[in-house]
Amino acid sequence: MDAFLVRLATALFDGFWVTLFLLVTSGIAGNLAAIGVALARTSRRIWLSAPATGFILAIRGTPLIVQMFLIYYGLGQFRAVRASILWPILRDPTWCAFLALTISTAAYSGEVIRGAIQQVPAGQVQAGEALGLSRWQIRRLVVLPLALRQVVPVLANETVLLLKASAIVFTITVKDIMGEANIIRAQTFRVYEPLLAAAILYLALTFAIRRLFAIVEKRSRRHLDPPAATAKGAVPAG
Amino acid sequence: MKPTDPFVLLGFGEGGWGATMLAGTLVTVEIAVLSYLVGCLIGLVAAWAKLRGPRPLALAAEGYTTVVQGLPDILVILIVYYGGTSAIRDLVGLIAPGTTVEIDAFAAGVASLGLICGSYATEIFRAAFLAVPKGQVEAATSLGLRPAQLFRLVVAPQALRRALPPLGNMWLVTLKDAALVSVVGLRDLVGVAASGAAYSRQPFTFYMAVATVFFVLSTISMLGLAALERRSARAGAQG
Repeated sequence: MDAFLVRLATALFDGFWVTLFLLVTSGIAGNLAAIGVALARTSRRIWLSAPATGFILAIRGTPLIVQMFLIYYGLGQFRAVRASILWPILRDPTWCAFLALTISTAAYSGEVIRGAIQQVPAGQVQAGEALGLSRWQIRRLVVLPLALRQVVPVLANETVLLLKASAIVFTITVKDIMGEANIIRAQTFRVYEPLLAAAILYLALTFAIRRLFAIVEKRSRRHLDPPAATAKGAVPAG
Repeated sequence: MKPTDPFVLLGFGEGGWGATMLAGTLVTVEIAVLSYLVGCLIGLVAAWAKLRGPRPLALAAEGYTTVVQGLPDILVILIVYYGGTSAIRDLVGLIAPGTTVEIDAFAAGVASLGLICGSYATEIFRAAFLAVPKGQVEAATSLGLRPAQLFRLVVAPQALRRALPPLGNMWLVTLKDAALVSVVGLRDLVGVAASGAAYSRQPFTFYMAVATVFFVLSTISMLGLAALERRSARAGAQG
């Protein structure tokens, strides 16, 4: 193997971990925040639902790259931010990328979870009321578990979208897969190899995410499968 | 002393970037509209290939949607821009050595966003055409309609009505995707704002303005799409 290919492979390997790190951390943080956003959005209290609605509209109505520029380049404009204890985080491109991706996931997944919450049959809520559960208990113990189970199939798509969205972080100097590929392209003037290698890596990641979620989904639906014949005669032949 | 007051900075007076930002907005909207139209065209052709086309074409369409939907949008843009430039340069170099070619960033932006948009449009049109009940086609055939009439009078109107909500959604996605083309050096809204931010050292002001413009464009689009959907639903109630 010649030196160029070795260099390309090592660079993309480094970038792969950065992409994976961003995908996992902002995926988890964003989806957890999304539950909060969805609960606030469907709340009867206007001081909870109004800010959540505004948040979702603002994030979904503007491009992610602009939000990320606002966090990374924009916030440093204010002396108060530069003086605050958060500045080491807000100065770091990787943390800014994490922050932007998390906020975006919170809004997009929040809308998905809101839809699932509203799909929960009213009878379930009424049953909870009849049992004497408080409103918060109903949301936490009845509505949310039912809604979240509906979300799992959609989550695979959302994660692929997050992976694809994460490729823009190279514009704020994060060295993810895309960033490493672009640096090599610019330094060596070889266009095809780095970009196509990055493309193959992204396609492989997309495929891996879909496989992983298919397995998780199958497991989460195991209780719906017909019972396996563990002992002879346990299942009537038919 | 450069101005720091956002109203002066983004205004139309001396030292104001208002006019430049407006020109950038126009470029962004042009790119979004053109890519959307290109995407719809690609989508129609690829959907036809998937549903009715000969096997090699159907496979090609399948490969196209799988690959483009599996890749980050920004990577598609870079591949089309740099890869396209290289490929054309190599080709021209073979035919007429010594000539230099430069691909227009605007054309590359529209081509790449059109390809991305087209991959989603393919699925939308495919689903919409599949959703037209078979009986409709049989009824039209038994009435003696020719294939062209059948498509224009029976299938297309019903499919289009079904495709309208996802097509509207696709417009909102394409509009926001247009923010990515500044990476290939285009003077679109984001590119112009980056210059303004670097010049004035007031990045928050400029990117906030960009976000506001996109928000207004998205909101107007959403209201327009909602009106359009209401209209198409009303026509459905009549028919």
